[in-house]
Amino acid sequence: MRGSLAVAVLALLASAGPAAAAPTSDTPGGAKEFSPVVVGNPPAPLELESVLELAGTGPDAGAPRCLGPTSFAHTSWAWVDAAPTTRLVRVSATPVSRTPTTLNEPGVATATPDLAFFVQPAGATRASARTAEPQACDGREVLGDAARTDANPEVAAVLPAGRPALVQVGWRASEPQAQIVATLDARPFTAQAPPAGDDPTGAPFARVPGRTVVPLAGATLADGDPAQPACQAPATVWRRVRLAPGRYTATVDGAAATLTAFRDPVTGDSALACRDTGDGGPLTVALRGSTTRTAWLRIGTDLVAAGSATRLTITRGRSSAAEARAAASDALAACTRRPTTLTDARPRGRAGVRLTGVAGTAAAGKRVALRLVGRRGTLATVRVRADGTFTRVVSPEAAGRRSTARYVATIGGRAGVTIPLRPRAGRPTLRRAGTTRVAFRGRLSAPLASSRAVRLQVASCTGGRVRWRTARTVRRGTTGAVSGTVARPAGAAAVVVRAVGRVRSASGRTVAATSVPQAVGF
Amino acid sequence: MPENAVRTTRRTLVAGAGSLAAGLALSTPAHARLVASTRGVGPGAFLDGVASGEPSPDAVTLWGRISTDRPRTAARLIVASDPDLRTIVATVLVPTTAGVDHTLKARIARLRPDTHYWYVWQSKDGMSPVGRTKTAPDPASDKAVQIGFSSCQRLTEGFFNAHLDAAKQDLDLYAFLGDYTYEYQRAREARGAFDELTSNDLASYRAKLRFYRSDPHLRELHRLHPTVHVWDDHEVENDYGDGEPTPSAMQRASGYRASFEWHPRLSVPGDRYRLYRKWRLGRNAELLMLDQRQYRTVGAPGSTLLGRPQMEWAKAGLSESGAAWKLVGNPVMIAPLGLNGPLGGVSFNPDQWDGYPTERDELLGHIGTKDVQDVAFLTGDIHIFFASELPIDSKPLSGSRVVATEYVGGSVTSEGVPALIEAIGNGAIQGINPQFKYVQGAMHGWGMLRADAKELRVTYRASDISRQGAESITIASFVQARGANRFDQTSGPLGGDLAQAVRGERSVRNAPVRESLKERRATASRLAIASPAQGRRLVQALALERTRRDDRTRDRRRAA
Repeated sequence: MRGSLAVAVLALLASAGPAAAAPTSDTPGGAKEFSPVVVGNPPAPLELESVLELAGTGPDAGAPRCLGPTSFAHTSWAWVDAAPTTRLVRVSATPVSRTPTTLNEPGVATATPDLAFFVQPAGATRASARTAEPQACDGREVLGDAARTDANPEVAAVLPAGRPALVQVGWRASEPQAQIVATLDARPFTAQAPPAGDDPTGAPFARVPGRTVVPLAGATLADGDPAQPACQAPATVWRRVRLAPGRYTATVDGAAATLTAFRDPVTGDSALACRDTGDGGPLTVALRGSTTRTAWLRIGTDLVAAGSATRLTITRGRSSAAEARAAASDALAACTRRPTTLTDARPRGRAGVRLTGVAGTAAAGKRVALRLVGRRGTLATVRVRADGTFTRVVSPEAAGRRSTARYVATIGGRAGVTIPLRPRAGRPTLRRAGTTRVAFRGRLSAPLASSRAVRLQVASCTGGRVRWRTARTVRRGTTGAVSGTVARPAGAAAVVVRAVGRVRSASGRTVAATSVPQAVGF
Repeated sequence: MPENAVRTTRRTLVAGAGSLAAGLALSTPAHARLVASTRGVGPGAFLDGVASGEPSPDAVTLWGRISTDRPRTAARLIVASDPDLRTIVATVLVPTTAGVDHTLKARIARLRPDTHYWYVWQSKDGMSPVGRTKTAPDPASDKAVQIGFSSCQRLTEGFFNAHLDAAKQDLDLYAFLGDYTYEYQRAREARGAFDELTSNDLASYRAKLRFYRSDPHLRELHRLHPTVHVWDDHEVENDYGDGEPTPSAMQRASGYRASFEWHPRLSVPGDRYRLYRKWRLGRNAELLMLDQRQYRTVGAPGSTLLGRPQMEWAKAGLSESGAAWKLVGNPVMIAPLGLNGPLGGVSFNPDQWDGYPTERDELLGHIGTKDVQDVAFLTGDIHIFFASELPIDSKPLSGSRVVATEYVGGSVTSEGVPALIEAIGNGAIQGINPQFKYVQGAMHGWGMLRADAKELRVTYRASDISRQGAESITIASFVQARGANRFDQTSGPLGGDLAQAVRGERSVRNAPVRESLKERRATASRLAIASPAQGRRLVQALALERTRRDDRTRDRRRAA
């Protein structure tokens, strides 16, 4: 405790003393040149150096701290001159090595320097340089490995012809403000006309939903391009998308290396999500529109050679629970030409019955009449929900609950298929099992057949016609329990499954017992 | 203070306090950008082999490199206790970026001492060769340890048969003592191999290391044994640090940075470029690696080779070591070399300790006056196999007490006896340098030692470097008993083959290099300096080539 106090007092005293004078490169206006170096083993290196002092420097008003609030606490600037040709520019920062002269002199810092790159408009000078938005930045958060104490930052950019750039290097407040040598490797790049959307200003709209081929050849990193450290790319192309309420998925392929979604307007902190091929997954981002609005998509690429392109595909997705139910409802509705169908009838309470069914989203809002087969009149009515489903508990006095009871739903006088209250293959449920499989559960009621094989069948339905394919055969339990998972057909928004097993009839014959088809959406 | 502690001085506090005040005054909004928080394994190939290093009894540092265009990606490291990778002891997701040249490093802890482990790197669509490493023996272990050491491996001057030979041995550690790469560009050496690459900036230092790591024998050595490395001058520029020439800040930092990136080592916290470290290998050996290049100064207030902090560290390390054998990884020769016989004390080579006699006397004096027993210097740089006994005042024929020994491991390939004195041969060198008990300048190879509680055995091995894969033979062996600080030569021509300097060196120089290696090296060299677009095509070609020939396909299959 006493030691901590002493340190604090020392720090306070020290802060009152004369601080190191800030170098001219503390501000963008005093940004230092990159210069060639003389070497003992010619030819001269391609890279240029700029040795930057950090002692006495502070943060920069107006320049965002690209790697978070603690980054770039002490900064120094270097200036990249414009060139008549487009260049592939790589900038790196390394702490300068030095020889300690006293025993207790600290060594060269092992912290990773901060590095940011600001593309400037054509004709910009140090005095007029813009620092409101960096186009690339790199540092410890990007590597994400605190144990890697030899790490250094590096950024790459395809710098358009005629554009100068500013380089900002920095340390955190807690780190020694050691000298940093910034290196610049700028190589002429094959000049090509920039593609549409090279800069977010004036980026074309992409089709929603739909597929758009996006040329990437000739892409650069323009000054309207806000840095997103998680998804760096030396060159980018932009597209706008106008989204109606709902969920969407944007996917790119081909020469694309990153995909970043921004809300409107595009700024450094308006990025919604991004994907990087370096992370191994597909370049897919989810978008959500609650009201009609514009979103921005930035496609990063490492290949800006002739012919480079990507396909941007935007699909409207259904990923909420309601939308998944709607998909399931529509899938079941597509399996019959009848206007509605009951999917479950279960005893509820001492004498009531709960009836569940689907009519498809097209029937949303319509009234469904629920009837007991063999009895005139309606047990109850219910309206179809927006997701195409309906559920109604029928009161005990109306339910007519007997072991042989069968129920039917009708819309506008047209009836669906009847279902029994106590089917031989009952209590069917279907749930998602991850994103690629579905899990079926049910029960065959006694007396059971000697065969324990139960086929789980998946439907493929179009226009009310259905084809059942056995996806898997499972063995029921000794009590009749049936469970098993089957694969979701590739790309299917919903899966319809039924189980077909064998039971013995009252007369002792072995007969098939088929469950009511169930559906689940994704 | 522990080695890993971050040293805080008043100067640090001053700067820190000042910056805090400035930060309050000028704080700018923190932009909520997307900074990688989670990541997955990205695609990429492992074209540069695998390596391990820095072994301690319970941990080791593992190295790999993924070839990708992406600025940021990650690979999975799998460590197992068996060659078939069935018993997994660690699985780690290791991130990397272009800022570290896509090299991958992970220090795996909680391992058993003196134990072999096997490891492999996985990407989304590729897998590295299976590497093997070994932890250090427990400090209390009385097990004999074996260490290999070498230096000066100029790729264009011959085949790295020494590394192939070392890879086959049962070693606890292998020490590279400097000149791991050469910065020169040579269109065609005498033997016909190409090195089109001058290295003097970050991209070219990285490319040079990649070029050297394309050598199958060097890759095999790294694949099978843990290594430690200390640089000498050629990792940056010839003879730098002696005042002239002075590399620029960029050249020096770039050379150091690339070296750290490409070796299986982590920076000492708070001292990024520090290479002087010590490695304890059981009860019988401790290896102190010295950095004799980074801290050199000339002129006022005095020339230093080690610098004061390192000198104090070395002296303390030698005094306090509880190991039976104190081994010093010594990039440049400590024994004098020149006209040291009856002709007087003229040094040929002030780039070695000869140029820093005050520090040499201080270190040897410390060993002598503190009665530190059983110190052996393992040396590189000079391209000649030497063995000598070091008196306390370092002057030959002074008759002063011998306090240590020095074993100079020749060169892996770099030219041996300098052309100027080639004609006079080994005998002449020994004639004017009677302090050398053994001299062999015509052959190329490496040194291997075995240290146990009773004795230190040092073996020099060499091969015909003009033939790829030529068998290595033992050219000399020495035995040093505990407490003697002297050695006896137990095999090979006594004192070295005095007639071989001219004959051996010339015959090697005139031998042709096989076309296959010449082509492969040319390809690797082109790849190292290629543009990204060209590089991708060449990488594919080279990867196929290596998969077919260099990397162990059996091991790849095992890992699968």
